[in-house]
Amino acid sequence: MTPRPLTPTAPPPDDVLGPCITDILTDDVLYNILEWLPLRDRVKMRRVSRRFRDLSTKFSDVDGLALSHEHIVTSNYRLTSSVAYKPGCPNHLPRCHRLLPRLFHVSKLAIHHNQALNVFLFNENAFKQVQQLVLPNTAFDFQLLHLWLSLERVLAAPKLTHLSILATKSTVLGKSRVFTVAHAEMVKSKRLKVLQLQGVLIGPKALSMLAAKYGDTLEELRLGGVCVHTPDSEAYWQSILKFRKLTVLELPPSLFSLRSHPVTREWSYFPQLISLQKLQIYICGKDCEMQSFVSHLPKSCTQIVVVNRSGHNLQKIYSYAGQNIHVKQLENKLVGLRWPGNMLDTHGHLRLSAFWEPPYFRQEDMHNFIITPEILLAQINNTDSVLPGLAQSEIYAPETMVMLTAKESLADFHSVKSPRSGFGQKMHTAREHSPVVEEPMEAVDILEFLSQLRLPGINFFGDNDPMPLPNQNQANNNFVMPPQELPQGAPPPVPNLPDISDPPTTPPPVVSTNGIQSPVNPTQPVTTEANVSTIQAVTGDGSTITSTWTFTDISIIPSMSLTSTVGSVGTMTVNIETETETGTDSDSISTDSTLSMDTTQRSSSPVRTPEQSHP
Amino acid sequence: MAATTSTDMSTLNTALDKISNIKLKCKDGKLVTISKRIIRESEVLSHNFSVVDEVEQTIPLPDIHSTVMKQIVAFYDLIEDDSEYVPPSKYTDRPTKDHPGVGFFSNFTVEELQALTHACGYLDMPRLQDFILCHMIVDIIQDREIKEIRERGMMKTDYTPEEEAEFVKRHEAPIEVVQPQ
Repeated sequence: MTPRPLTPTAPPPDDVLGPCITDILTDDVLYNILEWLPLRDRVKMRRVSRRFRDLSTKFSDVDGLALSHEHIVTSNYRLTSSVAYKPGCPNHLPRCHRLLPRLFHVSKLAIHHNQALNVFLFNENAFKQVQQLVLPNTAFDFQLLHLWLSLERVLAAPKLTHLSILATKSTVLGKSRVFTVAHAEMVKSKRLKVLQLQGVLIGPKALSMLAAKYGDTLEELRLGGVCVHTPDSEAYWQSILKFRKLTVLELPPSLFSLRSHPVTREWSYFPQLISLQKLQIYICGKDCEMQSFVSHLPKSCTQIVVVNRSGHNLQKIYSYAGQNIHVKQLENKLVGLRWPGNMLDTHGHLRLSAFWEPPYFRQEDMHNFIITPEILLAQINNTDSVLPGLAQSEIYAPETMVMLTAKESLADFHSVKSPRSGFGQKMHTAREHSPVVEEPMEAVDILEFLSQLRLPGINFFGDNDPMPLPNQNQANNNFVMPPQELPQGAPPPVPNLPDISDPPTTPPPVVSTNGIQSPVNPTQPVTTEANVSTIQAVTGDGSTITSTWTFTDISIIPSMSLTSTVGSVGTMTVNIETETETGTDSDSISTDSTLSMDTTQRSSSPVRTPEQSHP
Repeated sequence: MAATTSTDMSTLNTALDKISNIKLKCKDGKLVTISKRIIRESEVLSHNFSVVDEVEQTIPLPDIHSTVMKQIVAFYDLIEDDSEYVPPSKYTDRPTKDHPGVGFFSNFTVEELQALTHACGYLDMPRLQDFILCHMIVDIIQDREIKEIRERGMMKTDYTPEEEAEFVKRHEAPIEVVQPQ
């Protein structure tokens, strides 16, 4: 439509300045104007006049806030707008802290970065009206002790109804982030309805505490993005069944997945979820019996959301007992998040993903990590996750770890309250407590380390007791762990499923000071005289698993990668780089079944052949 | 839409069907004929029609001048093809300067905008109020420096030079805008 020309009904004012707009408009009208303005223009209006300054700093209409170390996002009923500080701007945090006290009344709060949690250190009563809260998973890293007080305060919001812990985009999914019993205690709200966890580990005790607190209120339990200790699945399920009003349930692959050989015992739990309406699960079995599974769902369930890794086409609608259950397939596509549930934004630092998919222990996670046969079996199993010691780590109290860390950082000690009763009786470092992080290995420990990595048919030391080979009569090279090697409570061995996940990525190599490529710690001078750079063990059946160990505190091996297949006899190759007076030499050793290597040798001798190094 | 509940809406439609020509008697005693759409868009008028059984065809409106009421009628004639008004939930959905309803106010004086603002506040007309405010934002505030805002809004600064200098010093840290989605 073409606008019609309109003749002003009143002549223009003679005076150029005329009446001031702020003189003739009421505060309500001016504030309505400010509600339409993006945050940047709104802040800018403070400089126009004192009246606009008073009005533009009210922010009473703002009901949502997102914080990171780079930007602030506000939202009212009209618009969502952002102000981003240029990287390197030194004044953004003080400016942020001046603005934030005017926004403490918001009901939706998304914290994208740990740095933004510092606001709770200086404001005990900050954001007490929050109903929807989003936190980064990095804040639950038990090595970041200075965040515990902030977490305790932000999780204590009395009106909290939605709690989301999401993974940050910039970090890999590590195992040092645990939603512990202490975190479950910190949540003080009495009416939590939605709990969404991603990128953290959660143990059975923490979930049990949540079930005890919110069994009558929680309606949505979204655990698809967590990793659990699969052998404790019974305890997890018992906790889940205590959420009596559960309508939406996301189950992580490490707890439940549809596979070729269903575990009917787990299927029997679903009829007890009498209020369930929507279920999100992971499918990895090629011959999964979806129709049979649907028959185990309660009548209230009308929708199943799946990530289908089976390669098998699913129907859109499955019918059972006259009821249609719609199946929606998700792409496991990561998306950025600004607010819970809507307003996806690429500027956000947090991501939403459907599941924490196997393999759970990627190369980046394997720093200083001893791979046990149980964990190798879990890797092969493709959906199970073995986290030995998670049960102990989930009952950490922050005070326990602070006691020793305070020796190194007094600030950490001041940032945490006095120890609670029941905790802190034993003083351990986080490294000693950790189920997955071990002490940095010394060079002399490598022999012991390698001894724990003994693979079937491969003998690192040439002794007479190699790991037994799998029975050649077993079909298709499927490796079955000897019964005595299984941990207590571990799931029964299952056939080797093909690895359908994305291939693990290797961290980009960084050239260290002496020219040797090392994936980590590029600034640390490498004083090594003999570097074992790669070890490969390849066997014949084709499917492989890959893991990388990186040693930052030893002087011999900056990096080592192991490629092996649990199967029949294979070959092994060791690449050894030796630093001599004339430069760096490298060579490789290959063997079919037996290899011996003396890694304690530190002399600048040339690369030895297998015969020379064999004891 | 102004009338919120279905019961009120049906009552309003029934009442409006009985009336062919609706006139408002304004503050200066003049009669202004309005369309049924204006009644639907006004919370006050639609409520009046929905709760009263017998509605007179001439409604007294003692607080609004006929000149202002004619401007409102002209505005709604301009946007007669627009659909039912839903307040925008996203910033990108707001009325922009390309919309004829926003450009309608471009030749209005500050006094006229003031009178219109009071009128739409009195009659509770969300669409008109939003369009006036969007016009003010587009015309006066958006993408303009402080000096331009003061000039176009005819606003005089009441800050002292020292305070102005302090502002510049405090806000000299650069900021950039993230385009909202």
